Amino acid sequence: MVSTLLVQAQATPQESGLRDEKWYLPLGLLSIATYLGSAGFSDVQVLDADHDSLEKITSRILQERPDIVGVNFNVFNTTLLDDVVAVAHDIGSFTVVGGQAATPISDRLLSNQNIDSVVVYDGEEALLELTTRFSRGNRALEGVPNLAYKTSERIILPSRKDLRLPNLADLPEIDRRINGFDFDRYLKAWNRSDIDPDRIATSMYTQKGCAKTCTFCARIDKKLRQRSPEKVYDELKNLGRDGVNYVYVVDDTFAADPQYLGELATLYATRGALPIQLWAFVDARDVDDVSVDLMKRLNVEKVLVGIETGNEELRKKNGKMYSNNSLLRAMGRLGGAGIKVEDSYVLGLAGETDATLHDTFRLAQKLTSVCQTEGTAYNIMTPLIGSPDWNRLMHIPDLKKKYGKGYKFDIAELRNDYFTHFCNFDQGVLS
Amino acid sequence: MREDKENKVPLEVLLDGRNAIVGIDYVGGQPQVELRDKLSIDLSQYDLQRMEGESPLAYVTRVRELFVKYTPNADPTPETLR
Repeated sequence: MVSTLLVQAQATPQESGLRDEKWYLPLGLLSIATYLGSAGFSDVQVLDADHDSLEKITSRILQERPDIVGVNFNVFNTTLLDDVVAVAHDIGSFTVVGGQAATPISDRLLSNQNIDSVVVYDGEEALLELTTRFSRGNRALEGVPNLAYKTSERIILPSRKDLRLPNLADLPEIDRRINGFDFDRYLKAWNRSDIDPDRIATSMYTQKGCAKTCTFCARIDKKLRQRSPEKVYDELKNLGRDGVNYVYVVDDTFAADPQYLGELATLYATRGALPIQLWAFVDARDVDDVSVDLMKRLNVEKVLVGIETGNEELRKKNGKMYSNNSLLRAMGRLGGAGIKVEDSYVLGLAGETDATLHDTFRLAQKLTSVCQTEGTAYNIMTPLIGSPDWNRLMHIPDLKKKYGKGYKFDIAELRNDYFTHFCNFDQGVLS
Repeated sequence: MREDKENKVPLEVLLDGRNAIVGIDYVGGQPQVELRDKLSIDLSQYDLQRMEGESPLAYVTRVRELFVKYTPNADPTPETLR
């Protein structure tokens, strides 16, 4: 039996400078593990650096000597990735790196001698094919879907015919307790007593993909793919049996397809409403009377809306073509329905000035008069590899020289370089 | 009573999403907190101007802190990658 250990290397402790959210599940890796299990490859473990220390992860690798070690990669935590693949490669495990952030930089990642391969896009088919081949003693990598790898001479990137995106409707429901995976520690991890101390939260997805073209976004799924509404309903029902009362839907744009929401709402009406509140990403352009009514029927408690900036021109330049008035009307609809809004902004967009920052502040304040905001999020712009904004960066010769290779960057320095070249912040005489 | 250890301000005050603390005085050792409705506050040109020698990132970070402080119900915690 081929043994596989999958590691979520996106930790959010102090050194990452990010928020500590240990309730948030490594859904992608659990989906792959469930998929392998359903195909008969049951020796798959999932570890999560948000809960498992690096020492625990590396000692598990050394003890169990898995045939395959897969690591989910994120630019905010490259050191952890490097440490895990070094240990795994050293004992002869085949190493695979994957995830949203890995896809646009597979060639850069493969420059690390401890990384044998990189999965681009979804990982289910790639890991199944690898595991199947390894179980037959076949270590050839040619033709494995979605797999970039290297030979002694060169790096091989998957051709278009080798790219495969699974039909989400065919995937089994994610097993959140697969092979002893400790789901309970996630259920106990909600720590925002200022918002809702009794919340038992988890994450799930119903759809993947977004056809929008925001310049700061590095999302790779441009086509909307959907799970069947029946499976979504069943999963929510099962989560309720597990004590979950709040689900964060990680879809890029939950309300993009009103027909889909309508089918789900029909299941609530015919099979019974579920006592689980939802929190979902919604694009302001998808908010109308129909979608708001459907979200209300689905017990959506809060939506996260990426508004990005209070300046209309700047918002348009960065890929979101709507006015502040239409935004306020849309948010007013949510407010009227009693759905809270987590308004989210990006500070330091290309073209940002002192005046546009002020516009953002004023819009955020104004929004509170049309809906109940909760958790207004001000994010500092980070150019992500694979996004149009990253491509902007690569057009500056000095920055291309600095960031054109490798995958380990000082995020603060990267941000500063971006602001210096693409924002215009007047330097005053204050000191 | 829970309190903010740095300023010795009751946490219940800090958790009030609508009001901002604009001043703290200590009278007889007890904190007297001056609050203002966040919506009554606008930022001045001095707040939104990069100081001499201040890096663009330091400026944006400072502006972010101001926005968080003066926006009702803003999320005070660090950014997330969700």
